[in-house]
Amino acid sequence: MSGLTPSQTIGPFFLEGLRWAIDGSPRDFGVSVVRVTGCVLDRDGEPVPDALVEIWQPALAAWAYPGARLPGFQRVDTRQGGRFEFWAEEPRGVSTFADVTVFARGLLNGLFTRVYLPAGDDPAATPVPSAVPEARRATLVARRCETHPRTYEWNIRLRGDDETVFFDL
Amino acid sequence: MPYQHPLRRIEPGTHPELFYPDYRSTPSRAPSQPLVSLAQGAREITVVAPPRELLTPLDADLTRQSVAPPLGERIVVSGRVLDEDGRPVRNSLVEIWQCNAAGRYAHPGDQHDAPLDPHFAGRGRTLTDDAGEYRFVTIRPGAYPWRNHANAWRPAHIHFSLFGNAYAQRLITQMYFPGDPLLAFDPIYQSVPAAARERLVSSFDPELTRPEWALGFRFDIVLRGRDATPLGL
Repeated sequence: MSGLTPSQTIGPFFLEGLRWAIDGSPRDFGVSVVRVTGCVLDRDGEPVPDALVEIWQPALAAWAYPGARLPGFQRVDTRQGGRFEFWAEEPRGVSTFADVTVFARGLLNGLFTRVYLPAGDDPAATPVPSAVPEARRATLVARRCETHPRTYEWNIRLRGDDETVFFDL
Repeated sequence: MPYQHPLRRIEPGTHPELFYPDYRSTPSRAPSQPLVSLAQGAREITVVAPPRELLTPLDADLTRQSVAPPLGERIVVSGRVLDEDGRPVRNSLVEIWQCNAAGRYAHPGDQHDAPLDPHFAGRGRTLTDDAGEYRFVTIRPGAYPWRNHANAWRPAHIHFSLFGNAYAQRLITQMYFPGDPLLAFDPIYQSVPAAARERLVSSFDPELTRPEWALGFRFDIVLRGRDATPLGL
């Protein structure tokens, strides 16, 4: 039937258009959550300060606090030196994951990825999809932060060393 | 209505290649590794639109968000959001943003030597209705220079952000205007495979045009449809 509408880059000036729903603030999600913090990095390991990161977690979609902008989504930007921060369901005995999309100037299409939060102390035991090459599995697993409680760290490397796995959904 | 079916694979030749050096910022940001195919999971999950109460009619009218109208040609931009099988994508969020008539964005990063319009923030949002239809009123954006290459100008465009009904229908794109001579020179537009490119160009529509008030441009958007073949078969 009709051809799919092609993608184009989000460009550098999306903030005014999308900021109404930018919200990474803590709130009562109805499930126990932890903080995930990290940086979007380019080929050279430099921060990308004009990216948009959207986090989709159906487990958190059941909540509907007054004024919820995009139910189930958190939308955050990387203005602060390429850094982002969001909330994910706490792994309690079983690992959890969140679906993540990344948009930025220089990306002609949105990128789909995932971040897994390991349940135990062995990130290798996290059920990353088997289609992911063994050598790249670690790029999808957040690490517990040693200095801050209830905090995990995970970077999104767009290109280069330890490039994050992106999916064709 | 929960989205029960996985989505069909994206037709090859639809989207631009990520690594496209004519668009100068892609070499440092485009992934170098092939995308990994996921057989199931995220594609199947329904996206819930924001509650209707959160949006007002003025959110979809970019000419009435200040105490005075913005400068420029008022236009109606409307179309249907459908999936590949022609099914309407109902009650889904559509967001737009754009520069003003002079070619300047209301964004601190845009320092182009063109005036800001105090009465134009350049952003709107709406939900598609039961027929998948959306409608915005805005002003026609100007072209603007950018530093991709010598004498580079972006064709007039409106940025579109769509959520669809399923997570993997998420799409960010740009709408262009018919007959714009800058399209032939624009690497971002040209990055789209030739057979798919014109889908991004709106059509002048006399039916949408309101006499003595605004020209109308139609821009239909097609998102991924359902996979006819159940998983595992």
